[in-house]
Amino acid sequence: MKGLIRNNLYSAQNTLLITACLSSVIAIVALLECLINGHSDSLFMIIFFQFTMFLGLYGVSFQQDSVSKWNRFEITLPIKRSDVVKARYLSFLMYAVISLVCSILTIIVVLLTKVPINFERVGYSISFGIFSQLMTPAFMYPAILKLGYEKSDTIMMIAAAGSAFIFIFVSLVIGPFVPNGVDANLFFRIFGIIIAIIMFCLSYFVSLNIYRKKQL
Amino acid sequence: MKNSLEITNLSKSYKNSSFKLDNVSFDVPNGSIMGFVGKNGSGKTTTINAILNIISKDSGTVNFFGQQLLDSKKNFRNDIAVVFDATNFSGNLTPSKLEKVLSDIYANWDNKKFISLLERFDLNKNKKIKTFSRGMSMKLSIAVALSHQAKLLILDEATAGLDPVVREEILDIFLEFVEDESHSILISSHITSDLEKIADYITFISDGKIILTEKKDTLIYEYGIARCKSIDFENLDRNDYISYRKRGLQIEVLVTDKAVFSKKYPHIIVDNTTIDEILILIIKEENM
Repeated sequence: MKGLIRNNLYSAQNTLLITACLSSVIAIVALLECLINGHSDSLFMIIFFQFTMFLGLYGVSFQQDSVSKWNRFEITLPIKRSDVVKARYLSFLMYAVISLVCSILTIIVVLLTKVPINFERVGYSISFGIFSQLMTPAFMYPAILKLGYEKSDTIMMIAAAGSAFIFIFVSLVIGPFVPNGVDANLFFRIFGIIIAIIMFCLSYFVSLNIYRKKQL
Repeated sequence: MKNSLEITNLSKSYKNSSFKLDNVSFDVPNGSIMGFVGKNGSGKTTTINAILNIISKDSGTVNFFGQQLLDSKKNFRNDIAVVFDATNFSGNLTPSKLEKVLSDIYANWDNKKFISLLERFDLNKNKKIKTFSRGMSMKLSIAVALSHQAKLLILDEATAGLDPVVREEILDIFLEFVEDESHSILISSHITSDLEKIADYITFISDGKIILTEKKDTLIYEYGIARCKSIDFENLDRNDYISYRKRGLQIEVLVTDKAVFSKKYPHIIVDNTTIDEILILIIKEENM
């Protein structure tokens, strides 16, 4: 399975580097804002953009596989079908961690300027980021397995838009269910992330079921 | 003689297609090269896909070294190497990175062998695969296939689209591979001249059915094409030939033993034949 994860990372390597560079450029914009204007009002937007940019990674390795037909070859290797699916989900988690690390580094850089940060808004962006990084592949991978690798770009965009919609929808409907005396924003963020984790785990089992029956 | 691969009554049909694999059966003996020939759409790739569990089969059994290829039995897949008609590795990888990927997957990965094959094939291990020509890509796939101590090579149109020099080089590698009698190869190809050079046996498939499996030497040295006029053809015993086709005023008749045929019909000319001609005659007969 290590080899499969390695292959997924190598396939997305160029895009990963480009995304990390763009993410750094955006972090520099946040830094300049702090140094020139003395505030970090756009930090939450920058964090939001950084997470969104990393979503592109999910589609890249599928595109590569579609072009090379790696998935046809992969099935002839001495691995179980479940290993292929596990490797995919572990790769997704790695991308999610990388995007989270980039965002945290940006916040640390801004903190070093000693400019005050609105943690309420930044927290919102981070929770959205974690939510979308788990929810997008949770929708995307089973759909790609069902509809074909060649449609991965379209599926990824729909999955990303869908996860953003769900995040907003949950934030609108959760209000009445917040227990008294509990910070509603914090409750919503934790609830959202728990939902995303559950969906990510459920998606793994759905994908496994599809992939076991899949004819490549 | 033991078999590396045994395929028995393999069947596969599709919901939206009239094409089906119809009780496909043949064996690949240890230490041999089995050529698998048929026209486009005859079922070669479908058979190989079904053998490798890439597609599910409706019925039939496939045994590799006496064992069925199940998802749960992953270890003996180390003994099987597959090369498809195009390289199946991400273009962003280099052979060097590919080596890291595959050494984590194959239990018997032999890095020294891989590097020596890259050198033999003159492939730069640090160049991205997407910059490789088709010949270079196929050489890379073959280098991978030969670097994990596989005992059975399955090649699906692996020499298609390659120039004669590269093909010759690759065919030599295949012959070296089967010098070890525990090794064997199943190779599907349109280029029957390649198979004439290296195959020990040939299996013909047409419209999803196996028409004939025979030793290559028997096909080349014993089979023949009798060229008859209509009147001669009408006087032939049906048991003396296996298929025929009309070609202008002449009728070409495929016979299994040209010596016996010539003795029985001395006035009819019997020529040597090729695998291509046999394939054409068999398919024509099937379609008549």
